[in-house]
Amino acid sequence: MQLFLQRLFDGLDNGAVYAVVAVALVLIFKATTLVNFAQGELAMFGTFIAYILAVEPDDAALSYTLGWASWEVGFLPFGLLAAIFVAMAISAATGAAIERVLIRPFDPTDHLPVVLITLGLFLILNSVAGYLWNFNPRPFPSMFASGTDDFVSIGGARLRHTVIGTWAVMGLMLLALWFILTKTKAGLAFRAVSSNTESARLVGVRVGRTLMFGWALAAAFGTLGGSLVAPKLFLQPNMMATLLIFSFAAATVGGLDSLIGAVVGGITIGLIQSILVGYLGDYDPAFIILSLAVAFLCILTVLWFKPSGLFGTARVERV
Amino acid sequence: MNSGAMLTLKQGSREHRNYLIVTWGLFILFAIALPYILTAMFGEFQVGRMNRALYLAVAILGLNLVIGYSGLIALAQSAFIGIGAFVTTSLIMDHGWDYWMTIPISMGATFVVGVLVGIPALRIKGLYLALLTVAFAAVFPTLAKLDKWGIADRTGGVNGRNIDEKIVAPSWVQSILGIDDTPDQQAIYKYFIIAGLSALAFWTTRNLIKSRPGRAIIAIRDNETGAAVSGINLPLYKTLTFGVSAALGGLAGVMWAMNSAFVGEQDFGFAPLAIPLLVGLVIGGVATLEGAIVGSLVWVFVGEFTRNLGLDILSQALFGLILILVTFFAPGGVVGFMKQMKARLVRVIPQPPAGVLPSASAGDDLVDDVVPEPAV
Repeated sequence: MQLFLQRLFDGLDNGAVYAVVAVALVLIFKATTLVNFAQGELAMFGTFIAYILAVEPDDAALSYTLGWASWEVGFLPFGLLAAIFVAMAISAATGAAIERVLIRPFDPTDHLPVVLITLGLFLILNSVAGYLWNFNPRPFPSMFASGTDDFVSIGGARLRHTVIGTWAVMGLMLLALWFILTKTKAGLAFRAVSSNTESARLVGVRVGRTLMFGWALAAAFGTLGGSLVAPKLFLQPNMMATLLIFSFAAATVGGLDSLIGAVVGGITIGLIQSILVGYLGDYDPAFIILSLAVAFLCILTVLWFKPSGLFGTARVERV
Repeated sequence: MNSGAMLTLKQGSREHRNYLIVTWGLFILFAIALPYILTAMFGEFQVGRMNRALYLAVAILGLNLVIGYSGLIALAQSAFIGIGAFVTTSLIMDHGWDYWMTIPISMGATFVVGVLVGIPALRIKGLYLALLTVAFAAVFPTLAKLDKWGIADRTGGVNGRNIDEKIVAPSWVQSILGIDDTPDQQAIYKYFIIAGLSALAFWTTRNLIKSRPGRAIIAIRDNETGAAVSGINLPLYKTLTFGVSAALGGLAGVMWAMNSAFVGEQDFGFAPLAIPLLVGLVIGGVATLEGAIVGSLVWVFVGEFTRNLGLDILSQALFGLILILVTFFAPGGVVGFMKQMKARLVRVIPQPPAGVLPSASAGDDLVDDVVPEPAV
């Protein structure tokens, strides 16, 4: 029981991060039916920016080129939070710029060019990050108390404060997203565009601007996800590669066009990974390697039996 | 007939036939001379690299069949190459097979895996196949490491596995090729095997594309609804295309094992192999047969060049930049550009076969060069 609870908590922890990145993927898919393969690398880059702003201004290569970045951030949590906010803002601007410059010139119904562009971005971001900051993993501070004693004991299992914190951040993020999408004019425009681009354009919604807004939101949330996961995975340019696959699985399970689905899918994938692979690993340690394969199997199963996912809208094509 | 081309030929005429014989003859002569030229100028090592470019061209050809001709986006060619290479290694090392006998098994296995992976995604429109294949490409190396059911023993796990069975030309072949039995010189022998197999793969694929199933595939790409209305079974054709593409990846895997005599899971990942293959395809030219080979050559030799310049870390960024620039400014790739140039030099007027309506005349030799006759 204790072991089961422990795995449950671990799964919830991973699941929250998958959910955050999956929300970013879904935001872009909802508006454009495109998948951003560079989402993970954008998040990694944003997390590096947060790292430079908060942690080691002298150690980081970028601080030499961006002199202003080497200001000392006071004591941690607050400094870190501020740094993450700034990094999210920078990511949002980058996301918007990418949409405007690289994505908008192409017809969104023709998938290949956009896939190629986002894969090209993936390569560039990954290798430039490796060039600037090398591939050695760096410890990234957690936003929450993460000492060895910082946990709540439930049934003998440790519910760590970081897990509670990750959940709190995810909740705040969803609340913010809900507020933006339902209570602001930009959010209304976003919902109009994702429901029917052409009609939205006809009633005067500025579609291009709205998509830029969607990309900006997605990039900001991606960076938040990266900052949440970096304390656990250690910060390095390949940090997000595997995580992105899990988030793909989360988004597919939940339904690629459903924000609620992304959250539920993320938690589902996190739990399946932690519990199933955990028990398989007890049976034979060789099976631990299968955690990525489980994500792949989840995608495969969902596409077999319910292609629209748990919460996605089934698409009806009019011929 | 105001084409502006320097040379205008009527399809099927004697001049056209002579033109084909001369150009193909020159090409084949060049292909035969190439390993000797490379050996003389740079040593046998570059012949091995040429072999790599040739079999990766077959893998890119498979990718092209899916992406270029059927308009689906699949990114798991690295995994299929890996399956082909691992199956070959295991059959040779654990079961004492010969190289050539592993070809049908490897291609069959990759075809089946391709179909199984492809079916669920291919029933639905949209980017699902891209998502699924990215996940498959990322998962494959971890599966090859699984230390269970003998998988890691067969693939070599994290350390990879050497193939002890060396390819050595029989003595009569050695005398024809003018090589001796040192291991270095076998690169030339392997070149002829790999070039022959690649030529066969290209020829078969070309025929496939120009046949009825090929036209069905292209029709699906151009207008899915229209194709379905014309009686084309969409899921069947899509799945078969994906399976054939995977089988071509498997063939490339067999040749990979032949050429390098070593397989390791870290070579078959998404970032190290699947993305470069896609970059090669895009540089060469999507939906052109020649593009596969041009892209492969560019990737293998230019990639080496940037590594030699000490830009190892940034070579990935360079490829990413090329990918974006080509997508923006030259969607036809190198071959698309070359075709425009060639159209200024040589022009072939299509000639409908007797008894066939002019509109049904496409699909004959060198259809890519055919320019419709302008209305007078």
